[in-house]
Amino acid sequence: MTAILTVEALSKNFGGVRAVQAVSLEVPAGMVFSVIGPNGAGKTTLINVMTGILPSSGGRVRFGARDITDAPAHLVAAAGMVRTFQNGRLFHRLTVMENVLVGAHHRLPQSIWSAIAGGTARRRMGEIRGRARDLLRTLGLLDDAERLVGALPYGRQRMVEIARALVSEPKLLLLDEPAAGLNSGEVERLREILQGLRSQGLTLLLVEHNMGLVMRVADRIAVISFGEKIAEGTPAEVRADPKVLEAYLGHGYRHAED
Amino acid sequence: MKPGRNHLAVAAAALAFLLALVLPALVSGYGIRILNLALISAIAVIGLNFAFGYAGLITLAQAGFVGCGAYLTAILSTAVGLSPWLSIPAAVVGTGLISVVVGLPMLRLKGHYLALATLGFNVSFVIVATNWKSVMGGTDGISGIPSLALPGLSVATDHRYYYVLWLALAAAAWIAWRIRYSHIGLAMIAVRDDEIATGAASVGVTRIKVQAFALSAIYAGLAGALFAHMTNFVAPEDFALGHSIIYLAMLIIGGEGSILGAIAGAVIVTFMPELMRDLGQAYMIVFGGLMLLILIFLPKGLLSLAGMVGRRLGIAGR
Ligand SMILES: Nc1ncnc2c1ncn2[C@@H]1O[C@H](COP(=O)(O)OP(=O)(O)OP(=O)(O)O)[C@@H](O)[C@H]1O
Ligand SMILES: [Mg+2]
Repeated sequence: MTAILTVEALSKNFGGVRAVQAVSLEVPAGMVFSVIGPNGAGKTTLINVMTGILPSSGGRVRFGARDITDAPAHLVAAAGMVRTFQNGRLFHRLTVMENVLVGAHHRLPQSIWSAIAGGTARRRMGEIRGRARDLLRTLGLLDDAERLVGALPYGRQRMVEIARALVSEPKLLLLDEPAAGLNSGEVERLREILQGLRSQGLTLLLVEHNMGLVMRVADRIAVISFGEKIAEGTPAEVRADPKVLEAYLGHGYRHAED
Repeated sequence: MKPGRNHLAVAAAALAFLLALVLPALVSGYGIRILNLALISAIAVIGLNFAFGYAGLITLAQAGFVGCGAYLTAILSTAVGLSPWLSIPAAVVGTGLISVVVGLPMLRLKGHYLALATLGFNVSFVIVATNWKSVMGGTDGISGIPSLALPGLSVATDHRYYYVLWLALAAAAWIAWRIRYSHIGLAMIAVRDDEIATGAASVGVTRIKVQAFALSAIYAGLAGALFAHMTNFVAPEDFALGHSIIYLAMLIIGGEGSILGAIAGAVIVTFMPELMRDLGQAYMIVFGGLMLLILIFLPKGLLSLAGMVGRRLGIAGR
């Protein structure tokens, strides 16, 4: 099994806070790889460093054959590794459709001239719009396409973020707590969507506190506590690992019971 | 406003444009000069809307870039002796290049720091123009700038020049509208809404900021060049920092983030001193008060008022 994402001894310090300490991961292509851990364990920081949002303090990140350690965020995304944000970050002055289109920016010519007169830009934008429409339909957002994104209820806004990430046809999608704030019906829908994406061959890295969701969709799970990876394995292996239970009992046992 | 929607709003805009066509016939000598200045300002403010309205870059350099356009075409059409038809595009391109050179380092700064750096650029421009006598004429400025002429037809009078400006404004607005609804325009708006999410969505944030800044300057350069060939004379004080603040005021009063708002703001603010001439010195107080009222009660500018009235009357809009 070839790894699509290889993380070697990645570290991130905030002054004295060692948020991520020498974490190594290998995410096999085509799998749902989940990263779990108590609040403040360093999961979001790990994603931020991997995707170029924050500079690393040490270690390497490889995406396929490319070394993308500390590459700028837009180049990481253009390379096919796209993420969503824990608290949802959308463009509130744009419509749902426009939000999604921004996700395909790197597929279009970058000059101002292309925006004014470019036939290539126009043609490609038409194709991207078609793909965005398909995505919105799949995610149940087609009727909202022309609404300002802020007018949508929270659960739908989170789906817009997933659509924005998918429109550029990434190879790897990193999701930071996509189920946070969703009701049980929406979580169920999310599970179907994630499994659908997996069956289309997309690799997923899923950071999530909702253990019901993780145990059902993850092929492999890594557990992080105080910035360190303390366990990794199949859902059954991780569940049976005493170190994992201890980490959760110490800091927020309720999540393990979710 | 979305394309394909708001037919009535589009019709209203078309009507306004038609009215603008016959306007010179209704306005006397001094009035047409003010009108021309309003159209020139409108071009500069549509430009400013890219940087400030869309991308959220707080820039106080707009008058400096208007000055770059004005002085470049002045020098090229007098000392160098180019035809205005060549010196104007050259001045626009030159202003765009200057903006990229100064923008690349400045756009690393954010918020107040960017405002200060752009302010510094505008002040420096005036200092250079005032002191570089051999090329920019110092405080005397540059005179003898030729008027535009078509084969067999001079457009030297303000009444004729009005149509040149009107065409330039229409083209500038149309191009701005194209850019707004392109991927470049979307990315500019996204940058202001959430810079980190924009980068994560594959947009090169620095590049988009430079593009927004350069577009602002290109529009400013066009406005300045057209100004120079109307007045036939340029001097440093026409491009002082105060004018940058007025361009910003025009955009905010009209409605930032909107091309029609930019035009409306430029026209209103240009005419306001004329309408309130009887107030004399008290004008600035009234102007300041009005600005404050708009900021508090109509943060999206006077154009949002038109939108509200439109909705009341059942004219569409979201
Ligand atoms: N920008 C920052 N500056 C300083 N400290 C930070 C910063 N971001 C995160 N931290 C700290 O780093 C540690 C890891 O935080 P992080 O957000 O990565 O945890 P997490 O596992 O995502 O938690 P949660 O499950 O609550 O989302 C925490 O102690 C946090 O306070
Ligand atoms: Mg987190």
